[in-house]
Amino acid sequence: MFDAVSSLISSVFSRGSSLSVPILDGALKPNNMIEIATIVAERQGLEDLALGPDNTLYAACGQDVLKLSDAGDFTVAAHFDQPVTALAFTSSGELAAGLSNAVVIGGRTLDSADGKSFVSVNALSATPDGGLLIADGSASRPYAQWSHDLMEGGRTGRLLRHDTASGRTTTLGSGLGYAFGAMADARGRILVSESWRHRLSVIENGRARVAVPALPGYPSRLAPTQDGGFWLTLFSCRTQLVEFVLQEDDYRHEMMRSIEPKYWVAPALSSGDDYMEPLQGGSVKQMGILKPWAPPRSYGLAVRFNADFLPLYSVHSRTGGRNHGIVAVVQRGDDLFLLSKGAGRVLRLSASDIQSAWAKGTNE
Amino acid sequence: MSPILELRQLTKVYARVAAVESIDFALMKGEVHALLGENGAGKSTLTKMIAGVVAPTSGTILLDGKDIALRTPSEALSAGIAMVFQETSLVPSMTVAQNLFLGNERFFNRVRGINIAAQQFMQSLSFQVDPTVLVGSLGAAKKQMVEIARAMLLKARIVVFDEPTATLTPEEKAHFFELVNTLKQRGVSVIFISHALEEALSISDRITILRDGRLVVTDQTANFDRARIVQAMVGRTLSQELYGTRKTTVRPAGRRVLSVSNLRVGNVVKNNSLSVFAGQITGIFGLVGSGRTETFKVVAGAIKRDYTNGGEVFLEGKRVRYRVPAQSVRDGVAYITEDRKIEGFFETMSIKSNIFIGLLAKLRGKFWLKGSEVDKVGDKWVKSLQVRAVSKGARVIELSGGNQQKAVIAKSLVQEPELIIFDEPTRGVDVGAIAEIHQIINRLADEGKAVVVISSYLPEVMQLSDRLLVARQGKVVEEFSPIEATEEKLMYAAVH
Repeated sequence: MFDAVSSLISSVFSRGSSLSVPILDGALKPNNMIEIATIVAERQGLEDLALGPDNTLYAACGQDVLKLSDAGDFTVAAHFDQPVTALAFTSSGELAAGLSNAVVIGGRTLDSADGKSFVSVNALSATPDGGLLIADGSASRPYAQWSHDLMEGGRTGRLLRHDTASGRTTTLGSGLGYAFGAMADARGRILVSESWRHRLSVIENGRARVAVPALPGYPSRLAPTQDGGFWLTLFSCRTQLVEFVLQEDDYRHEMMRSIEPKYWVAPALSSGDDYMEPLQGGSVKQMGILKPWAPPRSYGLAVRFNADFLPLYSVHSRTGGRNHGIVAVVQRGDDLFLLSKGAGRVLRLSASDIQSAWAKGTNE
Repeated sequence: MSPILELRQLTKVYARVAAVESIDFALMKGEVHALLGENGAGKSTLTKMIAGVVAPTSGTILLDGKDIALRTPSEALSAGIAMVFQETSLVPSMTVAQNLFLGNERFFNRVRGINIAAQQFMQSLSFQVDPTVLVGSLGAAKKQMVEIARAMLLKARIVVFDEPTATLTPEEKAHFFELVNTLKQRGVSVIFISHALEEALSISDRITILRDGRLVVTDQTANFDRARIVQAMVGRTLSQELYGTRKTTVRPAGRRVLSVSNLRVGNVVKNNSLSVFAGQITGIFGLVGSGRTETFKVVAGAIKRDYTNGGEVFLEGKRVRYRVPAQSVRDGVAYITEDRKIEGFFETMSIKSNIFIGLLAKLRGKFWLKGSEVDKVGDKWVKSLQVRAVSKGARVIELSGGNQQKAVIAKSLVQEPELIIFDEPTRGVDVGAIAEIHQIINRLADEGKAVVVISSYLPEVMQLSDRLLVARQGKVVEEFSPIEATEEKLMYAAVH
């Protein structure tokens, strides 16, 4: 009884409140695997990855969909009049492209669903039954303005399912804290990542049930693996400074009014190129070296989960690295392809090498 | 050269069990003599007989070749024999000078006078301790200096140290060794009990090893190495069994049981974050003052984090803030203290009663159990952890260090915790009991419990852990896999 009253008083008066972010440890123990990954291709504007029906890797880049050869050469497979913000192939092999405010599926264009226009389509994923999952991150801000949505505390994301056979689109979940990745897993469950709530949820009967809470970063797109598990990308890590700014409304509004978005105290996809970037204490270079454990403005991270939502291992590009802003991942056989939006690179790692390094403890 | 102290066929029998049997021992003038043995080998009993704390059952003690009977510690002190216990006998609320002259005050005392006398005396011993400061504010090493100075002031010719270095930091240990050398140069003979074999090898002139109350060997230190000492102490080669093999596999992490985020406790714990997973042993290594103990005392509700911006603790995904340890016990957290004698048990109560008290913390609103139930629970855990005692109703204070530690572990495990935090689990424990405690820790992890081992002893933490966290200046700074970690890497992370 005393505890209940005490915690009620504390919650009303914000007593004993604390700003904390989860730590990268255990299966999320930092390493440099993404940083030392093979660079398959390098091009500014890379946005999403997908495996085509011919098992070839495709990449969304600017207004193009590019076919990527094993040698790293690009050929344009499709061109759109807007930047491509999401990419997938349906189970029947049709190309599906998100254009922030529309989805193009095999030449057909969808610009709304359930009476609401698309605003920020950022992820597409085919389901085995011929459907297509559509993540619409925000109802108020286009995809390019994702950091605006974060600073405005956006909770207007939705997840939809488009039935390619009937042409019907239904809303699976709404009020999401920036839906930025969706996937149907081997057990038929629909997973959605909510970036601003730092969690992965399972959509059941129109409601989101939290499957992985309190992630240390901002989750983005997902990719299934052969064993029923999946890879989850996190495009940046949380820091106490950003969490603090998100609590301070006046400061945040003033910052949004008076400062260029690239200098906001907000997560970024890349960093280190501009001395005017905001830093958190600890991110100061000593003897010309930025400590890898310093609070990150940008970070590279992808986490491998099993089918029970237990993290197994992870790959990183730490603070001071370059291959940051991992927003897409695709596994083809033993090859794991990662897209670093911050560096504009497609990277390749060996899935078995990652697994064995973690098993042997050589994942330094 | 004739010995200053000689023991002949010295025997002490407790309840028909011989703690020390027919010991012949000689101590030379100006000699540092290390006394080694497992817990329960009889070292403490032997030295207590020398210091007049315990009367021998039979045998003789010769001082300067004369047969003497030491019935009380003050008689021993008058004869020039002083004993410095692990827990010092100083009064913390009095100054260094007052402690030095305690019991020897004149009818009228001038504060300035005793301060000057104390200052001069400390300087004569080359001890850098301010006589005007309160003893309670001194570190462990300086307290020992005062203790030694007091013995010297009483003109002790023989000083017995019972595990003097157990609670000292590496720097303090180095200082202590200098003190022993100072005593030696002044012609004082030193008997030195320790579990740290390297210390005995480095500072003693001769080593005597006891096992099961009997003297196994006495020899010049130069003739010993670590392996020979361990062999003599335990009668088997345990060192290899304990720390010899490098870990080649680790247990995979289960669910996240504990998550500590940005924890702050005064200026001791600074923005500390870590997680602990089920089915794994998470080893925490760090130097004294790295905030390891304080972090986990917050988790267990023994101390409180800063009220504002003190960080968060999540247990099984639920945010927790404990006011008292009983709350954490009910949530399945067991903290096994590093300081068992102060915080671990009620020393004058039996093992079973202590285990029962551990159980009471778990049972909400229940203050009484039937005697038969207490016996049953006690018997179960005494058997399970192989706690060895002279009799069934033995008090915990009568047990050896290793068995005391097992009793403390039993007192926590009876609460059926899911998260078990061992803080320096083998400090002051003999080699044989270390192996048994390690088995218990491994068994818990194999059963799927989340286990934390805080240890300052690198080989131990490397051998036990499935993942290794290194703490420095109040926070965890690096994580290592024990397969890849080396002592150099860990120490580098802990220091730099």
